[in-house]
Order: sequence, then C-alpha cells, then structure tokens
Amino acid sequence: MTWLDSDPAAEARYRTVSETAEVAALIEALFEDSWRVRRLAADKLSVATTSDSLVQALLEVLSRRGQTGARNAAATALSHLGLVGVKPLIGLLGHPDPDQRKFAADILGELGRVEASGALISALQDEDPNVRVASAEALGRTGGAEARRALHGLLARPDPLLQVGALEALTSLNAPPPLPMLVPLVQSPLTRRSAWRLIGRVRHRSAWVLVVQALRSKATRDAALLALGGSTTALSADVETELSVALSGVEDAVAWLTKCLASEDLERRVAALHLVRAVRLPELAPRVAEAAEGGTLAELSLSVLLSLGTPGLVALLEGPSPALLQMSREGRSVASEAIVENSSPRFVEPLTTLLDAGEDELGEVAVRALGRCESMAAIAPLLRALDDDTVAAAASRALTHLAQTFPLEVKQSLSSKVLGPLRPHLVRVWANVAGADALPVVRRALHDEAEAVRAAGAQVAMVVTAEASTLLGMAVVDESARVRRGAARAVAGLGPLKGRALLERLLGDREPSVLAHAAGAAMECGATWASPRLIELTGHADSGVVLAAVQALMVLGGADEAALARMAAHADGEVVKQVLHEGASSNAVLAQAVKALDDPRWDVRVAAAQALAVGGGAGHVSALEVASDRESDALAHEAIVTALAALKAR
Amino acid sequence: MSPEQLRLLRDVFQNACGFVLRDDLKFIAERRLAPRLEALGLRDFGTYQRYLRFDPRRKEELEIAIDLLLPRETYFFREPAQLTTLVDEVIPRLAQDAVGRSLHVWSAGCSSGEEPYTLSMLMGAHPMLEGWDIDILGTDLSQKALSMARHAEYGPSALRSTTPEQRAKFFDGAEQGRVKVKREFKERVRFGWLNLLDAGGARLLPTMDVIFCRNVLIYFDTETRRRVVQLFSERLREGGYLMLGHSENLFSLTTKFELVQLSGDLVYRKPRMA
Repeated sequence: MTWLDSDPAAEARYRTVSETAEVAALIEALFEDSWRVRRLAADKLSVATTSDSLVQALLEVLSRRGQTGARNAAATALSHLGLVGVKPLIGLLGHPDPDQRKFAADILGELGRVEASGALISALQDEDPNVRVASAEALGRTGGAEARRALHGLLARPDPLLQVGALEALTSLNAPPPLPMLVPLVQSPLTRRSAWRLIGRVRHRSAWVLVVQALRSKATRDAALLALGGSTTALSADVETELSVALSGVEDAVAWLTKCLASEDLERRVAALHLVRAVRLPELAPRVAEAAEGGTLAELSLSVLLSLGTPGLVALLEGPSPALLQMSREGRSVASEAIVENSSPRFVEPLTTLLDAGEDELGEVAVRALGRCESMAAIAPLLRALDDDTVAAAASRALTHLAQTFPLEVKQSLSSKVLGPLRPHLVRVWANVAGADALPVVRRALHDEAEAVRAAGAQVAMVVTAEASTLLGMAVVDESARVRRGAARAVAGLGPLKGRALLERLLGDREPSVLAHAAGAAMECGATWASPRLIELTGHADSGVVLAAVQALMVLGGADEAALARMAAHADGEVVKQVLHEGASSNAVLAQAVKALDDPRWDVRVAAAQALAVGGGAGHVSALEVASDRESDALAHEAIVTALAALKAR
Repeated sequence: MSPEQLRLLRDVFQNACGFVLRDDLKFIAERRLAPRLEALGLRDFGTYQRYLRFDPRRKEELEIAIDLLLPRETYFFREPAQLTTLVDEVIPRLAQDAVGRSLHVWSAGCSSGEEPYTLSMLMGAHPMLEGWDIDILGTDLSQKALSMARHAEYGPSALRSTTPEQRAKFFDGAEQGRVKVKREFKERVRFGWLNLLDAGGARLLPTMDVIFCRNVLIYFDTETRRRVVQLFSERLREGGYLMLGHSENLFSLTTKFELVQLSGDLVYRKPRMA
C-alpha cells in the first residue's frame, strides 16, 4: 500500500507564497519540497516586473546541481520573461556545464524569439549530444530562414536523435525540406514517424504519390497515415481521389479505418477521417461521428459525415436498432447535426420512429430534421410533437419552416387543432402560418387562463395588423409581467406614433423586465420622444434596465455629453462597454475610455481600446502605449495594439 | 462566435458552475447553442451572453445552455475495473469499518442517473451488505437530467456496457426496446438538485462513506476543482473513499486525501486522525 502523506505544513507555505509579491521570498520558495509551492512561486515570478537582477537570480537557481525541483521551477519562470531573458540565456549556452547549456537551449525554445536562432544554430555543433538535440528542437520554436536552413542540414547528419529533433522542429515550423531529403528517413524505424509527418507538409504531388504507395502496404500503412494527420481542413479533390484509389484495393480497409477512427491518438483520428471522406464508406458513419469524442474534432467529423450524404444517414438512422441510439452523447451530437442538415423525404419514417423513441435530445433532433425534410408526411408527426412540452418549441419552428414549402397543407392541418385547448407554441405557429386569419385564435389566447398562452398571444399580435393596437392594449394591462413583456416585445411593430400610448405605459411599468423590453421597443421603432424617460431609466437600480436604456439612447441619440459621461462611468461593466461601443464619437466617452484601459475586466479594456481606435486621435497614443506595456491579457493586448496601429496610421 | 464572445460566455458559465468552455470547443458551442439563439430570437452570441446576464429567465436559460454544452457522457457499469475494485475491495473495508449497518454513498454529478443506479445494483447484490441500510444520493446541476434519472427509463445507449445477464437481473422491459430499473434497485436511490459550488447546500447532506465523482472535475478550472474537492473532504467520513474518473487525480489540488493502491485500482481515501 502506498501513502501520499498529507502535509498541513505545505498547505500553510502554499498560502504564504500565494499572498506575497516579494521577489526574494518567491525565489526562496523555488526550493520548497512541495511541487505545488514551487509551481506557484514560478508562476508568480513569471508575471513579476522583469529586471536584470530577477533574471540573474533565476539563472543562479538554474546553476544549482542537485536541486532539480528548484531548477525546473526557475526554468518555467525564465521561459515567461520575454525578450529580456534572451541575452543572458544565450550567454548560458557557453557555460562549461552541459546541463546548464541544455537548460539554456530548452528555455530559449520556450521563449520562441527569433533573436536566439543564431546562437542556437551555433549550439548545434556542441560537443554534448543532449545540447545539440535541445538546440534543434528549440529552433523549431524560434524559426527564421537561417534556422530552417540549419535544420535541413541536420537531416543529413548520421545521428538519428538529431534527425528526429530536426524533423519535429521543421514540422512545427511547417517548413518541409525537398522530398529527396526525407525519403531516406522513412526507412529507419527511429525517424520513420517524424519523417512521414513532415512528408504530409510537402506541397508537391510526388509527396502524395509516396503517401498513396505506402498506404497500400500493410507494413507501411500505419506510419504513412501520419502524413494525413496534420491538418483538420479538407484535402484537395485530387489528393482524395488518389487516396481513394489507393485504398480501394485494400482488403481490410474498413476494419483498419474503424480501428484508426477509435484511436486515442488525435493525429491518427484526423488522418482516418480524411481517408473516410476520400473513400466514401458510408457504413463508417457511426464511427466517424464517434471520432468527435472530446469535441476537438467535431467540425471535421461533421464535414466528413456530411460528405457521406444520404447513405451515411441511412447507416445512422435505419435498421431495427439504429446506430444513433447506441452512440455516445458526443457522437450523437455530431450525427444529429448531419441528420438535420441532410434531411430528406426518405427519412420521415425513421425520424418519426426516433421521435417516438422516448429520448428528449433525439426527439428534438427528429423534430428539427422533420421540419427540413420537405415532405408533407412530416406534418402529422410534427403536429403530435406540438403536444409534447419537451419538443413543442422545436415543433413550432419546424412546422413554420415546413409551411414555407407546404403553406396550405400545414395551415389546414393546424386549423382543427386550434379549435381545441390552446398552448403557447400552437398559438405561435398558427400566427406564423395563418397571418391575419389568426385573429380569433389570438383574441382567445389573450383571454386564456394560462399566462404563458396570453404571453404568446401578445407576442404574435402584430400578425393581425388591423387589430394589433387593440389586442396589445389588452396585454399591456394584464396583471402578469410575462404577458406585459410579450406586449413590450411586440409593440415596436406599431411604430413610434401609433404605439406611443402603449409604449408610454410600458416605459412606466413597475417590473424591471418589462421596462427593459419597453426600452428595447423604443429603440426598435425609433421613438425619439422617449429619450427623456430613457435617460431617467439609466439611473434605475436594475442593470438590465440600465443597459437596455443605454442601448436605446445610443441608437436614438438622445443623450448629451453629461449623460454620456455618467453612463460611461457606470458601475456595471456591460453598461460601460455598451457606451464605449456606441459612443466613440463623444469626447466624454473617449475620456472615459482612457480610464477604462485600467478597468479590472478584460472585456471592458478591449471595448475601451476599440472605442479609442474608432474615435481617438494623436492625444490618445501615449495612454495606449502605457496600457500596451502593462497589459497581460492576450485579447486585450491585441485590441490595444490594433488601436495604436489605427491611431498612428491616421 | 468571435474569440471575445467565446470568452465572455466562458466567464458566465465559469462563474455559474465552474465549467470551463475550452477554445477547442468553440465549434461545438456554436452548433449546440445556435438553436437557442433561434428559439429566443437573438441575433448573435454577444446578445446571448447579455441575455444570460440580464434577462429575467436567465437562470433557466443558463441551465439549458450548460446542459447542452456539458458532455455528461454516462452509461451503466461504466469503467468496470473501478467498479470491480469497489465490490471486491472497497465495500469489504467499509463493511468492516462501519459503526452501524448503514452506508451513505454520493454520486456527485450523476447526470441522468446511470451511475447511482449502477451503485445500487452492485451494493444491493453484494453478499456482505445483505440487510444493510444503503442510501445512495445522486446530485446534479441539471433539472432535466434529474427528471430523467427519477424516471429511471433508459435506451440502448445507456446499456452499451451492460451484459445480457445484468440486463435480466437489474432491469424490466419497457416500451420501444427501452428498459426500466427494477424497483428494488431504484428505491434506495434518491436524487437532489445541487451545484457543486454551493457549499451551503452540500452541507445539508449526510456524512458520506463513499463519494463517486467521475469525469466531472475535468470540466472545471483548477480553483473550482480545489473548492469541490474541499467540499468532498468535508462531506466524507474519516476512512471514506473518493472515486474519481481514470483520467482525473488530485495532484496539486489538495493534500487532504491519501492515495491508496488496491490490487485493482488506485483510489483516494480521507485519512483517519491519529
């Protein structure tokens, strides 16, 4: 029995380190026994203000032989320091201790600065083989034309480890050498996999000829597969045709591809997906969908599944026990997308069976696909689905979609149903399909006992244009906020003048959610008369109301500089972002944008930079430069750099 | 979905339940959430993010969104080697240590109930536990999943690792080729709606002998994992076991558990006070 000792003392030290910013204390913590404490100290040093003394202190830790944990932690910290670390580490490449030199090469690789390439190329001649290999690998991250040439040169050196390092580096640089340099390397078991991977990057037909030949042979097939695993975008039609020809004569192709699609190795799965698309084996459709496991390959899996067309869907949906029902949730998810996109009249029966299978998720897929199958036979199962709460919303949308092709048939099928008890989704789809003829049903809905039905009636009232004002008038005075929200969403359709009386009442509602929708309606219909009330609402306690009012004001243009300044300094970041997005022509907003470059929220800083890019001038450059230097968030930094470029170009 | 919109959505989900929407799941997120935008009449993912923050129905929508995005892959008798360890090694130890003839087991993040029912089947059929009071609690964040769990009716996908003998022993037939968990295995399982970030809610649970939380922590950020594992430590009795998924461990999260090498598997145990 093995025990991992619990260590309260380490927990206490972890807390201490987490609370300090002092460099000396953090350096000392790199020598802790606990891996967690060392890691935390390294992480904190990585983001500490960089100085020569910090770099020297870390290099000093790196020199302590016997202190493996501390050295690794110092290496981690150094690898995050940026350009300032490059020069001292280049110096370290000349250290008498090969261990130090290897550390230097590894860290320079992590830093990935092209400024280090020259020194790393020199280190390829190091007397120590580990330093040479580490330098080759590091060149795969620093890049540059010289690095590529040097790595090409290594492929001819009679040192398999160095050759593998060079092959992997060139793969990461996506810089394959001419094919003749790679061909000999597929012969050796040590370099074979890396060589095939790089052959896949060679942009020449002869490379594909090699791959195709290798795929034909059982002995070379598994390694050659790696040539196809580097890209998740589709291969060219020519290459696919050649791959298809290559595999057509292979007896066990289905079994082999099945195995590859289930591989733990992502590259193998990618390659197998490319091959399935090339050879068009619809029976593999369930395996293709399952290859999306983990989510990373979902896009590629779906595109391959779609390329298998109707026969692929048959493999998923048909038979006494459809494959779709046996699949994992992620596999189902990808398969479902393909079923919805490729739906056709042929699938009405299996989709109806799927709808009745009793699984909510699959039921919704079946409903969506039935809506797109362009068959009148889909109407009946969709009508039944309207009675099932779990899929009624999807069924309502599906019937609306189907009515674009079969308007009379869908309307006729629904007409008897709306004579019975009303449900929200039935009201919605009926209004969409029947238009002005829906008046009696909409009127009934607005008097229904259930508030959900009344709310649906309010939302669709605009389809009965002539009566809409009267119908919405009933909804505006409903005791349920849900119904009044429905009315607020619809009232914009009446226009700013005809809808004014209703909108004024809604803008004075006591319920925040109704106010927010009413502000949205004012914006949508261009109700400029509402600006004074909207300005009042920017002082509301509910952020949702404030945001809606600000959005409306920014569109309607009813806020003066003082109001804009107040809104841009709001406590809620979403409100600030909205003002920054829409108000970049205002000096008050731009002044606030400069302050917002310091906001704790990254997305507010992004919005501030974007506002300055749009409306700023030369006077804002220095603020952006300061912000650029201190910004640690990648997205925010990118926005600031973009803004700086825009202002400097102006 | 722009990188900014993806990250804003990630922030919303992370704050709500610790779930981290990874960059490489952007395509999946777009595909699974697109029908929600259509249903709500929203124009883009930025608007959807605001809906999740401000709309009166935001809590309901957040649950729907998380339910759509979390893989929640589960089926009966998943990870059989670990279950064998439970039956052959963990249960005998627990039975030996127990003060009375009762056991409390928590399946945290139980999704649609396959795991707690599997535990009920294994423990209910265990000769050492005959006549014991076994209480198995399944909790999840998704009301929809819990509703399916309470219904206890399953299709072929949930049974893909179940032998014909197990099907005959533990399930009754239902319509459309589906099966229903037999009453005797259903009745010792109860369910509750719990966000694992809600420490206050979790403190209402009894002290547990075993906690199963398999393939749930992988979707959380480190800080959330730490909080959840701390919660497990509080809810577990001394000498109680924590069973994680095979790709999960507690390295760098806590030192409150000891790693125990059993003959069939590695498991975590809450140490006894000296």
